[in-house]
Amino acid sequence: MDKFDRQVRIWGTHGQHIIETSHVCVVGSSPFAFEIVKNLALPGIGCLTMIATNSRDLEQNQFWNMKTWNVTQIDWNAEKMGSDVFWSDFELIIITTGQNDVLKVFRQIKSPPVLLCSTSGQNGFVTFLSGEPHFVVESHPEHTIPDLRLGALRSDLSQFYSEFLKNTVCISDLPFAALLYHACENVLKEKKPHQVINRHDLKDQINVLQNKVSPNTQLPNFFEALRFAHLALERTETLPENVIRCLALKDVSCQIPFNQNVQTLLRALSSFLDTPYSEGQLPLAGIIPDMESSYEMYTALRNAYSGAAENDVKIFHNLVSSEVSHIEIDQVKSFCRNCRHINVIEPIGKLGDFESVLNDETTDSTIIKNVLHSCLSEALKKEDKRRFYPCISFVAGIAAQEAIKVLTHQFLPLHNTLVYEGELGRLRSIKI
Amino acid sequence: MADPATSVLVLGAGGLGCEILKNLAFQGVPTIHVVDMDIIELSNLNRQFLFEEKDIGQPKAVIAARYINEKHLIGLGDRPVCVTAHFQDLTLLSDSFLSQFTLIVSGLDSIQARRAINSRLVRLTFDSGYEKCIPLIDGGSDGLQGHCKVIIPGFAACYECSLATLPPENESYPLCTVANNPRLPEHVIEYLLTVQWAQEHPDRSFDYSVDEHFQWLLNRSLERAALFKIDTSKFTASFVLGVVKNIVPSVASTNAIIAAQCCNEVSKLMYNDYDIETSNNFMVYNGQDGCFTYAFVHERRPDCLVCGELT
Repeated sequence: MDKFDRQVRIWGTHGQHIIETSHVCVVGSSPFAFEIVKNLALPGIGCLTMIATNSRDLEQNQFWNMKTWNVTQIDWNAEKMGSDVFWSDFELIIITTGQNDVLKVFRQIKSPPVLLCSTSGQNGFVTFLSGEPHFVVESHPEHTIPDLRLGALRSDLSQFYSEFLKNTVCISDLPFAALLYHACENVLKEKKPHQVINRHDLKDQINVLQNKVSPNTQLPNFFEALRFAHLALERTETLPENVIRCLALKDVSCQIPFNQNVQTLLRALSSFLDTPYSEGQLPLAGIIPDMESSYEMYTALRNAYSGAAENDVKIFHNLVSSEVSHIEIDQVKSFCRNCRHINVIEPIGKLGDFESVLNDETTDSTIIKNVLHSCLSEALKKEDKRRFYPCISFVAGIAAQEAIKVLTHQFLPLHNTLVYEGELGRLRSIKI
Repeated sequence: MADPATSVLVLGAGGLGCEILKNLAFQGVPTIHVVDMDIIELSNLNRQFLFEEKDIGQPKAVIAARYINEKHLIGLGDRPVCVTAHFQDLTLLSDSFLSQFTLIVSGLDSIQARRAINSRLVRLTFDSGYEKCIPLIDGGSDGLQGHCKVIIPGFAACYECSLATLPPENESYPLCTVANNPRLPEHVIEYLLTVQWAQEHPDRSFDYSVDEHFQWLLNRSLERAALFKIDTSKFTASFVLGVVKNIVPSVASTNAIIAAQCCNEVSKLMYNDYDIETSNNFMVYNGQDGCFTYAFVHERRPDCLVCGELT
């Protein structure tokens, strides 16, 4: 079994590959910085550089296995590090200190995405700075609504359903999706043209059908049809709000290859939605939930959806290929499958913008300001250092987790600042 | 000022355990004991940073204790931080052994082990006429999610009081589906394990760690999947093992976050910052969509079978 098996189950081998080929820089030499480095070295970040901004914490330095993790430790050098060139090799920079000479550099240069984070006493914060939007294709929603399109069936799918039912002798074993199709058809027969189906009509019709085949016992597939009746009323023609936000950002300037690829895919999506074939609908996910039914019928249904989705991928890939040549079919597949759940967040553009907000007299900005400037005041007493060590460890865990989300473009990262109050054990998300 | 005589027992030296031990050491707890009966495996090394590849096959508790002890940290009252290892089943620990600790922190993956230790500690409080009370701080992690519970046995909600908040342990499938209408890869595996294995091997029980058994499962899975027209490409060794072992995904950062929350509660208890009546004793964490924590006071259940008034 592979060393990274337990986390590959979270972000897949493609996510792990990104992690193992990433260059990340951690600026700082406090216990907090060491904790972040540990949390990034363990999942296998390919290349880690740690820049000591003042004397290294010796206790920490000898506690961790810095050598086995292959971390490059160098000292802060304002001259060398004052230009864009030094930072351009990193995919992500994590700044763990509010030291003025460090922040001064980052106010001036154009850098890769930055997580600025720090802790003091029981408080801490993490904030995401980047000059471009951050797109996420695999947001991994834990539970999703089945992508069946029953409320607005595309012609390829309605053709499948009508033939499927024509060939069905007895409806008692039909999966619920086909039952809903059948029930809708029957309801529509009784309606005038352009009249819409309502939930009661549909449920009544399902019960009528059930009574025909099994008047005395409730069949599990009919039970599912009643339970999922709302799916047949879902208006599929309206795009989800998250997709609309992504589309609106498809032409803004981006430097990060992943974002550029997503923008290309979004432009292709726009064209796809305009094709008569798509009927204005997103590409199909091609995955259906389990449904009570005979395995033969279920297999037929599953193949219809996965076949239609494969077709979407083909058409989509042609649209992409007409613009660029480097996007591979697997990326197109992943984009089409996750299309309903793609998302984008807009980090804070510049360090200066972040700092100017801190001058507002709100609770959050006061906490952040105090944390950010704490390194300038005297160091914590030895007792407080021990007592509040877990707060350091907590925020370092959050910072590393968000770093991995930012690098892999999987799961939505912080949007755009997190404030931790250890005394209350509370983590809050704020948007600056 | 925290008491230099503080002693903490850590249950489990896995992903959470390594983090908890490290935090307690930096918090300066001089006397730390750790109990774990597992040995180190390769797939632990993406998060269990007290171990290296050369330690594979060694007991986790022993190697974890050695790592920290070799650093010679100085703790409260200038006492050296010392970790004592116990390579054993924690349910077999004696009452007199448990009684020596100020606090217990658990980073276990087993609900049954947590329930066992919880009821022992509640009993300890009751039997001592409320003289003795050893708080239990329980952490758990699963992928990018986790929880932390503070249990003050006999005084506030115990582990059993919040048992209803746990998700069902395993998805179960109706036997008729599994036997006659398998539609998902999981249905196939379930049938092989619950029905077909016993038919073919009435004298042996299935053990995934035996190569021959696991290979049987893989081969039969492909046969049965093909029979019912289920996509056979899904049946990789990694997928099948994940279903059989019910593998929980795990990553360093979540373990760091949950362990830190647990140890933050340790600090509150050590520095008299914890109020039994009003402090939140239950915190849930989710890092899948942004970052989210929610902490609240879980009330005692009057009808709790372990700590309720009727017992």
